[in-house]
Amino acid sequence: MTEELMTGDNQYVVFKLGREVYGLEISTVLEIIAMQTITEVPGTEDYIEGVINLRGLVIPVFNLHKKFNLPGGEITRLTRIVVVEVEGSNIGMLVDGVSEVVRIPGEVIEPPSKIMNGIDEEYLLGIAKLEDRLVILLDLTKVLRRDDVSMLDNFS
Amino acid sequence: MAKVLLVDDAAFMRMRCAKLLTENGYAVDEAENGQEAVEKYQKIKPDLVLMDITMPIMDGLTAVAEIKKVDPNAIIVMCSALGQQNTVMSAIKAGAKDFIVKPYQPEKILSTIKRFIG
Amino acid sequence: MGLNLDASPEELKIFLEEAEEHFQTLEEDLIRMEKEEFNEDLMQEIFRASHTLKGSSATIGHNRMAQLTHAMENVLDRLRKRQIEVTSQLVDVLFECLDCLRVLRDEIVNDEESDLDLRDIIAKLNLAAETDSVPGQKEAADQAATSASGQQLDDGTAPQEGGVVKLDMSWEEKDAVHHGVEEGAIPYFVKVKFNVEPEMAAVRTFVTLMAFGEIGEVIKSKPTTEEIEQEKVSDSLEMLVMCRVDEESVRKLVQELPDIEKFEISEYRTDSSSGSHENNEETSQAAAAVPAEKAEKPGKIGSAAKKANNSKKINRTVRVDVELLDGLMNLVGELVIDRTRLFQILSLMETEHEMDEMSQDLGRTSVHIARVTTQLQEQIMKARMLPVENLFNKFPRMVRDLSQKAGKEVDFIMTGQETELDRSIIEEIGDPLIHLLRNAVDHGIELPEEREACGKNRIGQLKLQAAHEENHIIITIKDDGKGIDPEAVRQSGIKKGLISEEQARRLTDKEAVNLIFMSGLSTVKKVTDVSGRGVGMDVVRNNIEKINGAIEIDSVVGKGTEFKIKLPLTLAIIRALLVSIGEAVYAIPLSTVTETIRIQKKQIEYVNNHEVIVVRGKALPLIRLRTVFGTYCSEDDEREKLFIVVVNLAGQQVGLVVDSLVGEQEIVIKSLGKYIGDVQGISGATILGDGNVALIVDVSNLIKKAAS
Repeated sequence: MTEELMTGDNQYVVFKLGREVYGLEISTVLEIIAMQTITEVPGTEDYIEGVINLRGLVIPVFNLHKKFNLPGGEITRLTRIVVVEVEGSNIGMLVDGVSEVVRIPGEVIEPPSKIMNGIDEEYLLGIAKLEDRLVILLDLTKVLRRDDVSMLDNFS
Repeated sequence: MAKVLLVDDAAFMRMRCAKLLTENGYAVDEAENGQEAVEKYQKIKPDLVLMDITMPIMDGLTAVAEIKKVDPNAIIVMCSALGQQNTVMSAIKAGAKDFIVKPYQPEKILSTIKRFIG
Repeated sequence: MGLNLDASPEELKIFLEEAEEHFQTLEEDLIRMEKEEFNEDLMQEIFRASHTLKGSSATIGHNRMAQLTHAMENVLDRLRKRQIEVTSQLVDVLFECLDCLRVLRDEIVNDEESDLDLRDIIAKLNLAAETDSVPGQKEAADQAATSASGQQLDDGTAPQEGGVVKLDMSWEEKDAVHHGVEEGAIPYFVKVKFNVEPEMAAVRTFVTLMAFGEIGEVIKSKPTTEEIEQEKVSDSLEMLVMCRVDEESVRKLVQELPDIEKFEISEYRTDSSSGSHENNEETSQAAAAVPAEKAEKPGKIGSAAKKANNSKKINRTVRVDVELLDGLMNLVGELVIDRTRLFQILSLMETEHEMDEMSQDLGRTSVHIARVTTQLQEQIMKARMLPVENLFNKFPRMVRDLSQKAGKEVDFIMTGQETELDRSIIEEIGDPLIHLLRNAVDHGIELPEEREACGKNRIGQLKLQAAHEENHIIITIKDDGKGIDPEAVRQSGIKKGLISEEQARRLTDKEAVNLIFMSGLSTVKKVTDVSGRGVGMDVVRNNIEKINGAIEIDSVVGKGTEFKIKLPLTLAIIRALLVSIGEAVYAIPLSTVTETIRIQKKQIEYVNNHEVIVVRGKALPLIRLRTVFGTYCSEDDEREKLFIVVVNLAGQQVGLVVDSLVGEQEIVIKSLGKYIGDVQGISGATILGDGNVALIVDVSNLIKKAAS
């Protein structure tokens, strides 16, 4: 995966979480929508903000701040919901504003290193070093993986 | 218009035969089994009956006997598959006029019917 | 390669429908045939199914199917006459044949010939038809065949000889001819050669003879009536007939008769001077063989005529893709949401504005749209319902095959096949049921010897039941096998690293048994080719829950296991009571609600430290949804007036404490999706008229929790 990533150009949707800049491969992003009423679902992990109605479809919304243990995450007028498709499911992710779509050449992407603090290394595909900034490329499947541990909780 | 009573438990066979007959100017009534055939025969007095042999509730052979009781002049043509010659023979002896072998050839059905009722 | 069948699309549709019926008859009856005592009605039914298939497939020109059903029919014919025995090998062969027939049926559906080779199965059928045959009968048949063909040779040459044929006549016969001539009748010598299937030659000969009997008197024939009855016939018939019509009329009659390849007619000359001469001299006159009319009206029955009106009896049905029905249901779901929205807007208009002519008109139109939406919804739902029979039908065969393979004896009982379910639910539930049935046969029911050793009947029982229960369908699969050992599951869970020893110890037996629904857990020691790979039960559970169903397991070691699957009637729409808890709106399925009560805080009493209220003399346990859903705050305690929604499931009642009642409405059930997964007390979500999402309360879950 990583090797593939480092060859050729790919387009990424770049957004902000707190002070950091993250990127998602453009093909995984379905759309970016404005903030709307989120219905909280009790008893779920705290990084699951709730569910929204996306044109008749009920989809979950993840709060990446909470998922990555990043500070901040208050909802502002810049807050957007990035809707992605992972393993056939649509999922929304709260982000602090979407800046743009950028083309990132493979050769500027480096494997994730330990220098990143706060965010678990396993969620990352790599780090792109652009002229003016670093873009952290997320591995969506890992970020959004459902924890099967919760099944056990149901028994007790 | 001559009336033909079509007796067969397979709707597919009835459909196919009915189409052929109506296209050739016959009025067609249908029955799904021997018992229904006997009842319908009395009600509509068809000019000719095309009678299948293997049917649930009442088979064709019994139906021939029953119809003949009601109307000794009934014209009944048996529809048989290969292998049913004994039953056909019994039916002929019971008063059926002729027989046709499945799979039907349209011209054969028509010529047989024509021979009896024009 | 297309099949080039001789049938219109409508005809094929009927053909396929009927074929499917016959397949199912065969499927069910073959199993009964194996299980039950010889039953003539049953055997006739089986025979009829195969016979009709043969006739119909030959008619549309599906030769391979006709060929196979012919071979099948031979076996079934011998079975119904008790000439061969029902054995499980024979039933296997018949089932294999049925499988092949289905492949051939699919050829029609796909309009493409499959690569199925029929030689093997036909050989098996032929072999089956021959085994155990009663020797005398077969010889007799062979004899008849040779005698018939022998004659065929004799007669084959005769017509070519210029038509001079002799019929040996007795004195009485000659006298009869002579007498007839004196009365004015003309004796004709008639010889016909048939073009008929050898099997039908006797009947054809008989009918032809009869036809002459109607225009005159048949003095003599070869073969004679007796010979015909003994099927000693060839492909020709010679006779001497006395008629009062001219030769031309006789000729015309013969021409009309079916199956005649050629014929000769000549006046039979008796020795007019004496009539009683010993030497019978006949001369033939105009004896040229005239080929029978073979004029076939060329293909008028082809496609041009196909649009002619069909029989009225045909059901006016069309095939509809399930996807289309799904699409329709989704659209209706959207309409249901909009209907709610429309009424919200209307009520806003009523309260905030003067109702003018136009808004009243809007109101009336909305009411109409609402009514049409309801009807549309009902009808689409109806169109989607199918009896579970369609699914259950294949199970007896499967259970039979599985138990045979596993060396087990299983009595499989199905009930409630008429129960109707949404077709997409039926589709989804098939695989889980197959899996559970397989498990029951493979791991539930013991080997006959084991069963006997522990005092059970050596034949295990497996029950599959479908029933309607309130707004759900309950499917139960129950076996009387060895049950699931909770300790074994605990150990397996620990060994596979799914749970810690500590966790295992904390689990009750029931909880332990429930571990089988976790992925990666299997307690089976022996892996068979059908089940027991440790994948499966979690998939079963997921599949069922995906369609808003639930599965429960109840197992007693040594006694057996029961799985209970609860399914919604439709995937889509239910009536619900909307309530508010804090800021949020929740939907409670109306089917569970018995009543709503408004109470004062001081009416709440305590039993074992649990809140209850007394309703009509009975204590009703209370569940505060605020507590359940974690939105509890101290101001709750300040509230003087409370709303209680009394819910009831399986005889258990509890009162759900909510902030207020919002209203009653139809909701479209949506899943929360796999990323949210199971949430205690929530069964799904729905979209309200204002576009927001409301969660659906899982009453069954809350009641169970309250009970434990």
